[in-house]
Amino acid sequence: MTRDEVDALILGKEANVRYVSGARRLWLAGARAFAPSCVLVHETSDVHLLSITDDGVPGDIHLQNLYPITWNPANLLGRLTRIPGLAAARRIGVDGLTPLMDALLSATFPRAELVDGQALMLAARARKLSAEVDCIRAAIGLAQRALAQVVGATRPGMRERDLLARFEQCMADLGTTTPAFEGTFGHRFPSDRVLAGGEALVLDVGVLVDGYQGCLARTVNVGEREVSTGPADVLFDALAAAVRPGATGSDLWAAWDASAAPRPSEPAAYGVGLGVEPPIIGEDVTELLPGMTLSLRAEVDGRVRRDSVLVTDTGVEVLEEQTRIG
Amino acid sequence: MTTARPAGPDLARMRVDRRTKLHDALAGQDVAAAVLLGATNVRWATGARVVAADQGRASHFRNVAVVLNGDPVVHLFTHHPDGVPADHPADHVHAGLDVECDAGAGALVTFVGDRTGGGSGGRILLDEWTMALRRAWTARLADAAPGDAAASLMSEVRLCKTPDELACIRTAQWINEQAMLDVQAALRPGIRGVELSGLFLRRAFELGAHQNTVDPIWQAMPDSVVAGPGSVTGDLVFPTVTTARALERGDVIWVDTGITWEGYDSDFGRTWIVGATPSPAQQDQFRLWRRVVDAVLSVVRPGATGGDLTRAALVAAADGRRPWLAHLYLAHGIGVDSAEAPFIGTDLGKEFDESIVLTPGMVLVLEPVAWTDGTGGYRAEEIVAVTDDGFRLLSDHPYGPYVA
Repeated sequence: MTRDEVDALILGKEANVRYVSGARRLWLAGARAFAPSCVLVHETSDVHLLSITDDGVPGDIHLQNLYPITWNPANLLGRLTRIPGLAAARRIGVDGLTPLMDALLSATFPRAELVDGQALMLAARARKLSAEVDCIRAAIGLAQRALAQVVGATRPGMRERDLLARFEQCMADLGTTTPAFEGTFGHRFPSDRVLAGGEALVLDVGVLVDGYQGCLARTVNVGEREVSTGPADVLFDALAAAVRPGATGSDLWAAWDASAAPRPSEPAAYGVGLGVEPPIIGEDVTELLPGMTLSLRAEVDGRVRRDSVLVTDTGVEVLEEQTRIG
Repeated sequence: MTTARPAGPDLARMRVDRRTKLHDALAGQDVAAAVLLGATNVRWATGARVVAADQGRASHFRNVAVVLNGDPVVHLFTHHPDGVPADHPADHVHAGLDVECDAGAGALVTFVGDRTGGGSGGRILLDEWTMALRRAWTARLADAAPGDAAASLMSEVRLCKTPDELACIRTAQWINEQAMLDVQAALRPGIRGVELSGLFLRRAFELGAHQNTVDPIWQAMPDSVVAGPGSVTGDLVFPTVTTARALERGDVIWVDTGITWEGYDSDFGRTWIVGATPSPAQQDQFRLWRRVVDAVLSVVRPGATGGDLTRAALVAAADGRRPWLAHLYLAHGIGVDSAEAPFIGTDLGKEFDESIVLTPGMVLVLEPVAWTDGTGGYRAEEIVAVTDDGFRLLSDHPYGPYVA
């Protein structure tokens, strides 16, 4: 905030709200319109949070800094003006807007310019603290255990959707009820299609544990207990070897193209942390920095492997609790 | 009480009906285009699916729709080509844009500018900004700064549902209700909230749910407000997030879940008691809730106002207090959003409630609460569609262990 000369942040994206507040709030699927969910004032360092309760809210955010949900914009804006330091802010960073909220905030804080708070938040979130890497590792471990149970239970005659159903139950039984994304089990929208023995099946899953994403993909031959990722493992290793401080998307694509596998329809890599973050490769040309965490996805001949890596000072570390599933 | 799967909708007809509504609404206005980023607006306008994901991921891989006035087909930008309805013309399906990033936002602004004379061909409506899109738009379409008309336009066209849309909501609710039969059968002292979620999610997906919409809620309720979680307003706190805490015998659980099927949401609410039958006081709470729901239903018909509903609820409660959660509402709409307009009984006030006039095709989720501080309360939800001469329930689920 100091660097960007931002006096206050008004945040609506759940990942940003969690990064700033540490609060655990109700998970809802999908993208949502901006609403002022969390306010951070630079001068006071105080965090103010949209919540009717302190349940799930860290103790360093006092009850008087919580403001309840409201359907009445006048009540909401009135509450925001009472946040100490906000009315005096000259530059307020927001991580999204709607035309209505743009007009309301501009009218309520006429002295302030609304600036890009999302870029600021993403810059702050890009390089992970070691405690964050631990969170990501824990999420990956949970996803691995849940996926291993599904692989062990997969039989010819089951439907794709039965595997999704089992994964979701395993994930919840292991302690987290929120996916990072609902998984691929054959199709990206798991269907009623019945699995045939021996067919190659892509399983691509992600969970959120304490807000942090753990994701991985493996390929199995239905009816076999071992994963059979084959050539995708080789490509994955090549992608991982291209990850180091200073590398960009072009270095990853060079590694991909050297494998002679056609480029995929999905990004080969994207940042992971509190969900998906830039850089998303490949449109992004951001240089990798130590402390960034990436999900790498290799795909060759319909076989897929996804794992997450940490950019270290000198290269890369694959974030895994175990190397084999099945 | 397994019930038969409801008759399905005609999805192709539903999509045509929705597009017709949208274009009719645009035709009468000096509007060149509507640009839709809102997940449920795009879902409604196109029928296209996206992979359900947390907000951070979903905002990067979202579908975007561009509706050009006079073009009967919606342009769809998608990262999920396998989620596009087969009857959507291929020349109106485009590669997905990441409108959280400058490149994707710039490409969208170029597309819109090229087809609207750089913004000189009439107003351009937009429902949501990303910061990257706001930057690109300001640089290149500065003369076409959008107001909030897209939100009101979409709210208006989405408000009254066609019979096919009602069939979607009923099927979503049926999946949710069927899954709950198995979850309630598993309810026992010692089971953890996360296990109930796991069982629910498994059954919902086995039964055909397209996605889960909200982290399932199984909140163990206190007997009094002060015995519960800290409250900012002094009012009862609900909902709180599910944890691994084991349920105990006698816990009163307020259940709230929602899944999506063919783009439409369910909303399930019931009160359960762990390993016990209701006490006389608890049974009285249920009776009060029932009385409030029946009173509200008795006034649901075309022409009734939101104010008629809140008054009926207040009269039935008979103690001068509003029988619903103070920070929420007596009723909300449901459709492609699990809570959408109309909202009745909110802090927008009585005048706003009076301005809501029920018309056929509106769908309301009634969620009154019967609360007696000291002995706790009962909460459940019923979904009701306004018909030409009254109403039809879209929820159909027993109330056990309470005696109906």
